[in-house]
Amino acid sequence: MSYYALLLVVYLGIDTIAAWGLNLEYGVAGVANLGYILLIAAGAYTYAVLRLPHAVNLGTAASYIGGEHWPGWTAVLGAIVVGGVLGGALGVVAVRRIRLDYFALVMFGFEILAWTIVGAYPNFLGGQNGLFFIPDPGVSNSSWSYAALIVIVCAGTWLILRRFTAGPVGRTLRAIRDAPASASGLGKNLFAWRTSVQVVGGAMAALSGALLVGFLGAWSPPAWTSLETLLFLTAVIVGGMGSDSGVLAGTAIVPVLIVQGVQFVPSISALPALSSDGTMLLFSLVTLGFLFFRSQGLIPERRPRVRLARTSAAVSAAAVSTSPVSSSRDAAAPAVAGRRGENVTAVPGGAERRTRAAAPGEVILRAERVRVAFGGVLAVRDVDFAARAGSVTGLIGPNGAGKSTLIKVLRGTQRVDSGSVLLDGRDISRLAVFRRARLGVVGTSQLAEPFARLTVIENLCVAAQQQRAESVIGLLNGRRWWRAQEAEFVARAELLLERFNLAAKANDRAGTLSGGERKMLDVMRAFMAAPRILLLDEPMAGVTPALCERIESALTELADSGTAVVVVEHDLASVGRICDHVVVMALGRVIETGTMNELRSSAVVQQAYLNG
Amino acid sequence: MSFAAQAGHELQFLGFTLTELQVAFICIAAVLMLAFHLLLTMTTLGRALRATAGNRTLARACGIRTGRVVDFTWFVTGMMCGVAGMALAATTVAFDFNLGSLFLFYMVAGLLLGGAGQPYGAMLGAVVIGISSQIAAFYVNPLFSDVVAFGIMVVILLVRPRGIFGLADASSSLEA
Repeated sequence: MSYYALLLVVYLGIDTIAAWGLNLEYGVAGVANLGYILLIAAGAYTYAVLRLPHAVNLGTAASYIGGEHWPGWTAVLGAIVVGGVLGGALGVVAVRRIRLDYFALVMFGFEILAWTIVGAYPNFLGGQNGLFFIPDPGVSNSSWSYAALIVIVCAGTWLILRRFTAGPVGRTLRAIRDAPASASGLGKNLFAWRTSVQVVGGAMAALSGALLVGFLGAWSPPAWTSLETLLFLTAVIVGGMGSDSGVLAGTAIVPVLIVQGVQFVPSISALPALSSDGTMLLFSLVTLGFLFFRSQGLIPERRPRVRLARTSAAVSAAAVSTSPVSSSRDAAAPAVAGRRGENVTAVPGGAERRTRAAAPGEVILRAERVRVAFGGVLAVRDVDFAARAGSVTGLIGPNGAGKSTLIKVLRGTQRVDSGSVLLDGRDISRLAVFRRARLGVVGTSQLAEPFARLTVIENLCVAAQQQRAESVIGLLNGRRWWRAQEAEFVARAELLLERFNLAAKANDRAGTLSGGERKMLDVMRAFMAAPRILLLDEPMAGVTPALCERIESALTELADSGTAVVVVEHDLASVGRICDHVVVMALGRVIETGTMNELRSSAVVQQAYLNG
Repeated sequence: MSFAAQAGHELQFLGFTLTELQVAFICIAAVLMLAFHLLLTMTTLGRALRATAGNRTLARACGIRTGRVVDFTWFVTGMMCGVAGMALAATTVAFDFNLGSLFLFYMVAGLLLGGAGQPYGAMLGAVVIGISSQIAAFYVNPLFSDVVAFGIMVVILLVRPRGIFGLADASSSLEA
């Protein structure tokens, strides 16, 4: 009985470490990996090969490569390194190239390949018989000291894991999970993050595998069939995707109680001892039950609640004191800036990031002879365009004029077929979206895409640039390294929320917002990134008129602080109020430029709108 | 349960020996592919199906009963699986309830190979995966039929991430 209890504790610890790794990859970062057991096996084999003596008679014809006879803890360390490197390598090869749903299957393919090859060659890793008589890591594997070792390793793993799943890094990973395109638009390097997660997840899998082999003393292909991955995946789903404590609970239920537990305790039920088929049946029923009735898992992912510094009274007072925007920019700017002397759009830390301050009116971003074709349709035909510091440029024209495509070209979500995009004279046409965002070119797309499972205020904090937490130093030092900066982000986000009347929803998940609110959140996120050039594609579509006025005043204010703002907008009255300069496009060409008043009387523009 | 080996003539084709039954199933597969092609391109139902796949909300707004279309898809899928199961059982000398367990993964591999959402790609992918894994089983080692099937899938996806017939996204992004 006591050995049985020991067994359960050890299995719980080992399986939890593996499930945490998978949860980091899938639940938190959104990269499903159906070949996860391969990484566990890699750790197990590495430990075995490093730990086994040089020559041992296994009693069969089988033998193995290596046999390094390393001390126990170095063999475990070796396994961790191999797991991390393998996970990273598979990530680099596959994540970069392949859609994420395909990646899951490619990993499954790799697992089948490795499993078959290892099983087919007895002289490589023991073939189907596997390796046995593998020594424990220096702690007796038949005593409670092994359970103690497992508990300690689990605690250590938890501390490291939380550096990735909690705090700003966890927030960034979840943002990438919820809306990858939005995240890269805010400067997140998806490839780097996903690969790092594969490295950490791989290392955790390998650690789990090494500890398992140290406990069992034997390892062979039947121990790592593709079904095992399913077991860990189920532990994550039952426990709660993205929730570390949930995964601990899920592991206790699925791999430990159901798969390990039940076969040892036939007497708990009236049934005779469950066969392995019976176990699988129970396992399937539990999984189906959770998917149907509690798909968020036992302990769902919880999001941090931020206590707003300002009371709701202050917020409503602020809302009243913000005078309605008049048609003149001169009247609008002081009304906002004057409110308790705070300028929402002036960003602390934003200025130092800029390579150099552009003089008002200076062209920062320029498109030269840009051409984009979709099949036979020329969406943008050799267009020249300039965005000037300190001014709001309107981009108008009938449907299909190529306005959105031009915005996408500037942001980097659309490749140019010819021509170039220049930032401060430097060609950035081949630069990825996230690199442009880091240079200060930030925008929104026509369809708002919030990070649905993050709270509203988290959505904003994700967008802040130059996060101290998002670095190796930040990961090593932990909270004390980024706490002050984080407080600053929250304060800025709060100001924005008040400004746009969303403070009441600060702690709601962004997925619960209405269409108009999502649109606002998109704009606010772009503000939070403190851009040098802000490119907005119909920011006011679907937003209530009162809030449109707030967006208008915020945009003019942002421009006054030196940012180049470009807006695609259909409401010409609004364009007239905020834009210093308007560009009219039709059928992929720029047909006229000028102020809105000049354009109203232009025959060419009227013609285009009537024909369009 | 087991069947006696199928009676009937054997046919030689490109070095393969096929029984009449196997030839019959190949013909049935070809006819089904053609029928599928006609369903998708020539019928209202086929158009509704493609519209639903493209954009369900929009299809609904255009008066397509998308729920019905989905039900119908399940119905057709079930029928096709029935035919496939019949073919598998009839051409296998002995079978038990575990026979098709890894079959799902062969199918998914074939599907991905062609490019998800591409019916003709899926047909081609299935043919490539099926033939190559059987050839490998015969010439190399029966153990390696899985290795070859998944090896091909992995390699093709690395070279052509959206499958052989997979279309590039309308906006070829520089994202990642």
